[in-house]
Amino acid sequence: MTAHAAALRLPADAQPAAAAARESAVLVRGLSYSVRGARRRESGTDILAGVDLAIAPRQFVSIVGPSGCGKSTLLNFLAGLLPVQAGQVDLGRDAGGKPRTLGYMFQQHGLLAWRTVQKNVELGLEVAGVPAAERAERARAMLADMGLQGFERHYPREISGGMCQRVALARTLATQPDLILMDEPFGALDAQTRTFIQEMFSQYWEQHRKTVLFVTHDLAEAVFLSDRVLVMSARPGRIVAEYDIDLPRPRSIDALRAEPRFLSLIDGLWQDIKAQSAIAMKGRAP
Amino acid sequence: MSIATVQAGGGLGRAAQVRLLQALILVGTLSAWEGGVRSGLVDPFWTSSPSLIAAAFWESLQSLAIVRHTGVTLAEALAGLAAGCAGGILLGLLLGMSRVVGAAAEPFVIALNSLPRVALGPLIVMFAGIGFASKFLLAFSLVVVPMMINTYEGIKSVDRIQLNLMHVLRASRRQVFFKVLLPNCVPWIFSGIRVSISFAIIGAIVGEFISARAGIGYMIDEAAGGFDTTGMLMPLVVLMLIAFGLDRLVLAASERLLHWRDAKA
Repeated sequence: MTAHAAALRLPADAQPAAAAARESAVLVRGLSYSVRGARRRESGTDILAGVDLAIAPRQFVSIVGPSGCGKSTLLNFLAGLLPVQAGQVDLGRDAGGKPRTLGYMFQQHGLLAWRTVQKNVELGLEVAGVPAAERAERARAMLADMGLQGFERHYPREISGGMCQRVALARTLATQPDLILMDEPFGALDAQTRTFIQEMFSQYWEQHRKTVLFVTHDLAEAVFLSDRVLVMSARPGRIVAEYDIDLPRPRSIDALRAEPRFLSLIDGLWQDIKAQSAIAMKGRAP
Repeated sequence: MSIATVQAGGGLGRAAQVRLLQALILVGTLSAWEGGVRSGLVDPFWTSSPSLIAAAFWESLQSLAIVRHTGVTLAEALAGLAAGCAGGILLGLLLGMSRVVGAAAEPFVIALNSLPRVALGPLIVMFAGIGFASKFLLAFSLVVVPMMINTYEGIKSVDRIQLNLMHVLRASRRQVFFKVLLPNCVPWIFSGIRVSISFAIIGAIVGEFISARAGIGYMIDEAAGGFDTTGMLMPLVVLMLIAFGLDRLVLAASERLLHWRDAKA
């Protein structure tokens, strides 16, 4: 960690940042990140430049932005997969003082091929040390929620890509994580399957209200699912715009398609992204 | 009659067609060989014949010579195979678990693997004598490196997403190892074992060629001294059948353990 980062990391008590951290499930301040060039003489590439982000508990927040803007990198910082170079990432602690539990879902399902659907969903519970009987019960219930009852004993090879992604979703939700990070989780699915799984996830979320940070390219998806949508700039990434999605819940994709407010939100996001993509193109021109 | 007509007319499935073709290859090869010798086209001095080999086998079976020699070679090969697999798997896991050690050891492992290890034979015999130990060591040396490389590759091939997932779930190193890394290696280990069966037998036989008092290699060497083609081929056929049987056993075990791989959509 650099000195800069150390200076930004505030002591846990008697600081305004600490108070804010208690109110938010996720607090990111001045997060910057750059990677060194492959060769010594190359200068480094800045990926993130001072990302500030606060997510209230039980809020669904999406991040959209031009390709390569560092959305996934930001998610990896929150997941603890990358060491913080500069800035601060605070996920808070639960009532017992333990670090908050995380769920992470990727575009690829990452199922273990040698485990049945049921055993894949149990993985997180196994790691957490949940007793076998309870774990089986919870996984079964989660699979039923995802419309996968009857497939418990199948192997990932035996089911379709859309079903694999639902199993991955069930695996993510089965541990009931405090914070769910999702990196284009439905991006690899065909349009019909995607709509189906979006509606299912939206229903689940409206019942359970977990804190979610969702990265996507699909603006309609972001607006449909989220309470807030953040727009990231072209690389190096930072948050440049924010939209409150005030559409009433429960939402349904069919009803929203004709809703002027839904379309104008998407259009606003699209204009922002187009502007950022233009900057990105100009930056890369010779 | 083409295969298509067989399928349409007789309604034979693909599996049955494969069996039929296999039977034809076996019977065809053996009868061509036997027929060539019987008709005087080829001299059995050079080629022997299936019936000569069968007769020699029967004779050797009655004197128990073939049983004793096969037992000696198999003991050497199987002991080398077992020790080589155990050692290779352990080393491979060790290399795979530590990125520093693995990366540091990699060029040495590759160099060791490109070495024709049967050429170590005379050296090993010099160190370990002409008994069981030298054949065991030679078989071991042939098995251990490919097993190590296969296991190491198995660990390296693990899906990055699965490791990230385990990290996010705050899994311990132990949990990552037993729930992701080790199961990911199992198919690699099984394919390593299948190749290693023949490597182990090669090690034992080469050891026996160099110097021995018993074993299939010794039998072949003896027969070669008397220009006895049948005597050289008979123990080879026995060994081939045993190695084939062992491979089928490992294959059956691996299909049982890896049934998830053959699962179809």
